[in-house]
Amino acid sequence: MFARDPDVPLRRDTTSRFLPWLIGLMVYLAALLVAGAIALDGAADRWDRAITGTVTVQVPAASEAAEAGRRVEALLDLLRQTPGVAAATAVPPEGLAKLLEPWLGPGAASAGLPLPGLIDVRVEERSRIDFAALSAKLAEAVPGTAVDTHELWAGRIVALARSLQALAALIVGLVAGAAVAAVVLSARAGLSVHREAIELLHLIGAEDSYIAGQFGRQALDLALVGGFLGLFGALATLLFLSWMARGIGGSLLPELTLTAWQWAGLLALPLVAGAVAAVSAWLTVVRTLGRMT
Amino acid sequence: MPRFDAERAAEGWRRLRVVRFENVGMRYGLGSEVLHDVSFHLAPGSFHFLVGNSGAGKSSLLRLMYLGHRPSRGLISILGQDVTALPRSKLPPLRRRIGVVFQDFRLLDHLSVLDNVGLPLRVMGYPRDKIRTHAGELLKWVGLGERMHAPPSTLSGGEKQRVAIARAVITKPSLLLADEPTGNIDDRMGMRLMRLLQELNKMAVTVVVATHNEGLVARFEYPRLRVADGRLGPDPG
Ligand SMILES: Nc1ncnc2c1ncn2[C@@H]1O[C@H](COP(=O)(O)OP(=O)(O)O)[C@@H](O)[C@H]1O
Ligand SMILES: [Mg+2]
Repeated sequence: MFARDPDVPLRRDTTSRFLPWLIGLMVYLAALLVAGAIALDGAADRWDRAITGTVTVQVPAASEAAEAGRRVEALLDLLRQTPGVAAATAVPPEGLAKLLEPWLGPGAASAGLPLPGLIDVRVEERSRIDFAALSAKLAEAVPGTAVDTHELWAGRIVALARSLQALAALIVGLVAGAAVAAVVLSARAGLSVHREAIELLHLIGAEDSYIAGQFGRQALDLALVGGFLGLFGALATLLFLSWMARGIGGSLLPELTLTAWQWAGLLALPLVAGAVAAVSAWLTVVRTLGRMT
Repeated sequence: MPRFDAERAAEGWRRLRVVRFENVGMRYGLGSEVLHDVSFHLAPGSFHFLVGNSGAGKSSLLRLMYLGHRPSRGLISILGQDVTALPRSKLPPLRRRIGVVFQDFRLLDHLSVLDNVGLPLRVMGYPRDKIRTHAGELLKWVGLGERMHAPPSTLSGGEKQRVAIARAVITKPSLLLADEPTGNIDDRMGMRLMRLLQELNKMAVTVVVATHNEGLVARFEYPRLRVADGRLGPDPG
């Protein structure tokens, strides 16, 4: 794979030395980003299926059943008039009793215990309901009413994670740009450091593309070394993170299980970095030499 | 059937020149001219000495011949090609037909002697084993069969010179240019190098040897081109 005895020995150049590190950093970040995106996709899916778009309204318990029914009706009216609310339904007392059974034991409802009322509210997609204002309005109608929006947070966390991903993608893009710039600068430096060897190659009949090939192959080598180091670093980091997460558990935590295609994508990162480096170096040399007379 | 016209054939032969210069001027960058109004022809298979004092312009004249520099004016034709306005992409195939022994050898120190000799074939894309065989034969021809795998930096001046000659002829060039090939080696080695060049000339290679070593020149019958102050003049003797 490595260019044997190149005519232009670029690998010893000082400008070539930091290339693998820069490309390693790029691949490291990109691999973490890809893994993060995959994990987040899985988590977001599970969160979505469970609970998006619903809030629960808790109505304080009343001593009389008739009074409790009136309070729930009043709140239902209010909710159905609120723009952005797709549907509001009262959870029937039997359903509630069933929900509470594990804590209160069977027969809690028939025992005449005062139970709080519950209303399921389905929110329209992309609605911008001000839950604080809604909560205040409901509490005014029936003091003690509480709106539980924690399910919506899950959606917000996903959105936040998505914007973090966009930021990470931007950073990877910037590092990639810096890596390409470094390849270009190092090729230019190589052209000037090895001016004499390159002149000799020209004089014995070498084409510009032959000389560019020497630069391209060596950039490929350097980028592959850096790229695979970066990938191994990223895999080590992921292993460490999942080892740390073992103790936490819980379904809200992203899980990282990769399909064969996703593994292939991760392994392709250093190869892509190598190809980009080789092409950048090659183009730089062909263009620079082409400008000579 | 057209009859063979000996007269016209001879005329064609005379017009076919390996090297043709017409009123050529040359300058380095924006400096003043180092060669002025240089005109001469070299016939195929000829052997010439290019003589003149140090700084007269011998190396510069060779540089124009091996397409290492463009003339600032005039017309140059090499191996039948007008090179004055030749596009960059057309230079490599022509350069492969010209062998050059540089004054400072220009061997690449990170390659072995064998790989240095094989370099011109390598840039042409020959397979590695073919290059090695061929370069090895040439190194035996110049008497360096034992030093094939040495780095050039460990060779003596005369040995480097012979490596440079082997590299210059590996593509079987039609034109061989040597700049001070006997420069920093003793007389005996100088004569040995001259014999190598003579051998090549017998195989129809056109040879030009630039030198300021008048003693060496005097031992041969070959015609001389004399450069003085950037002008090519008749050689008094
Ligand atoms: N690369 C160069 N740049 C500028 N001037 C040069 C260069 N090479 C040679 N010259 C000048 O050209 C003139 C001829 O030099 P050169 O061709 O080397 O002479 P010779 O080979 O006969 O000693 C000299 O005045 C020398 O200073
Ligand atoms: Mg000289």
